[in-house]
Amino acid sequence: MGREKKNSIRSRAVNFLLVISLPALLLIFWEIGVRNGSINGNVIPAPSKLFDTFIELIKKGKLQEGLLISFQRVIQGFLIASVAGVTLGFLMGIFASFNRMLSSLVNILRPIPVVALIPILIIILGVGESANVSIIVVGALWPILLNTTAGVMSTDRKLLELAYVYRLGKPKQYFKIILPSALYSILTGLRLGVSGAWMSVVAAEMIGATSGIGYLIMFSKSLAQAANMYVLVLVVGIIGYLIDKLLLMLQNRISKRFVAGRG
Amino acid sequence: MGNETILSIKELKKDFRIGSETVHVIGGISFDVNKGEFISIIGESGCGKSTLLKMITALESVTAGEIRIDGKTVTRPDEKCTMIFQESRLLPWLSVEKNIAFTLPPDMSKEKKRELVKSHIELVGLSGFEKALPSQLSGGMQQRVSIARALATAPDLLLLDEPFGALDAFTRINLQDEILKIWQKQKTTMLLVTHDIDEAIYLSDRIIVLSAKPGKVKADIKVSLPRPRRRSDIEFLRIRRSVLLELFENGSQEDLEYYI
Repeated sequence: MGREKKNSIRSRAVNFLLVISLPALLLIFWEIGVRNGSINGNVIPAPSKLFDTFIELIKKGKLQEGLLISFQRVIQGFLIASVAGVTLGFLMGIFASFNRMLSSLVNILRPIPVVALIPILIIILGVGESANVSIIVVGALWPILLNTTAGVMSTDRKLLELAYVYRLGKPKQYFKIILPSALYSILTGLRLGVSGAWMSVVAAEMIGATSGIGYLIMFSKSLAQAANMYVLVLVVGIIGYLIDKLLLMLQNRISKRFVAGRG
Repeated sequence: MGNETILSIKELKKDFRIGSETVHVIGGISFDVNKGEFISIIGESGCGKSTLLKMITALESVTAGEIRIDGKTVTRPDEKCTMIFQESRLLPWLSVEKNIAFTLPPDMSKEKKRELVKSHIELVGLSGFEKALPSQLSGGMQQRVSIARALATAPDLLLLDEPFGALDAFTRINLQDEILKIWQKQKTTMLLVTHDIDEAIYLSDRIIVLSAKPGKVKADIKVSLPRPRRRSDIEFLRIRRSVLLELFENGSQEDLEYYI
């Protein structure tokens, strides 16, 4: 027991070192590069400068303010996309005719990058919250919809046969057999949907907003505040990473409880 | 009991279309099952014995002929009839007791459900495992749950589609005894599809032997040995031989000796 525990602590430490080593090395060379002049500090400021800027942005409250607004938009857009995506995806998974009706439309709209839709949505909805939220909805919708459909369609046919022979009603089949069967896949879709929403909010704010973290990036660029810009972009990346980690943990916890026997 | 017919099958045919070809899987089967009887259907693979059960539960359509349960022609699953499948088909996210309650009629009272679930868990010897998930049970125990689930719905006719086929020999023999005990206690009519000759002789009152391609009734053998039966009994072996003779009519005597 003791040895096993020690080993697992050691292997965790090794893992951590492996994960951290490349970014750390990059930061060290970056810092050295700026200090000895081989990297232009005005274009690419040193990590130490970025850290100072980060602290300064927090002290002024600008970062939190921007993030709060972006989060609010993400939550709104994500909720709408979840309801729409799960509902449509579920119906497409169950009813073949509904699937055929929608699938060509979905397959044409899906490959369009969200960025390409921003001007169109702004023209239709005008600059404002509804355009911002709509962009996030589009960015989150597809993975939710497609994963829900796939999950529904992967329901074990043998369980549906059982339901038929035992004369269980349709609602029971849909909500007690198909929905739990699809749950893991739906959660995967929601997780990818949040990532999509986060990327879309930054894009939307860079183009058509006067607040939020995406706007702050564009604002820094126009004032040539390189350090601010880098800090904000890094924050966007780190938050995206944390959101994904958090949701993966949530997904595993939920599926352990409700999708027993799935590994 | 008596000689009341519960299941009547008349000139039943089933064709499958595979590509542009029509395959005659079942080519005119007729037999009756009386209330309380234990019947086995035996035949090599491809004789349509599982298809037959699927037609009785309306999972497959009827090409020609007729199936009647208690005089009523089958067009959708009959409430008097339930099936136990080869796999346990439990919902992996539900506990043992919830799996058994799952197929009980929605209009049944909660107390009645609880009572039925409890008594059937006892019946199949799974007391103490009420809260267990299927993944925590062995294959044999999972099949016991599915037997409990089927019996809790109080069917008059229970169809068993090779329910012990995927289990090891010990578990199989245990469960055969279990099914026999339940049958003797509850007098549910049983229709068992199997490819295990010993199992058929050990359990049933009658053995219906099907030929393959297309499936037809080749023999209807009465087994009137007293129970519990012994697999090494002379009479048991005599019946075994006659079933084998029916199954391997075209085979050589050496083949037959091998199986005996």
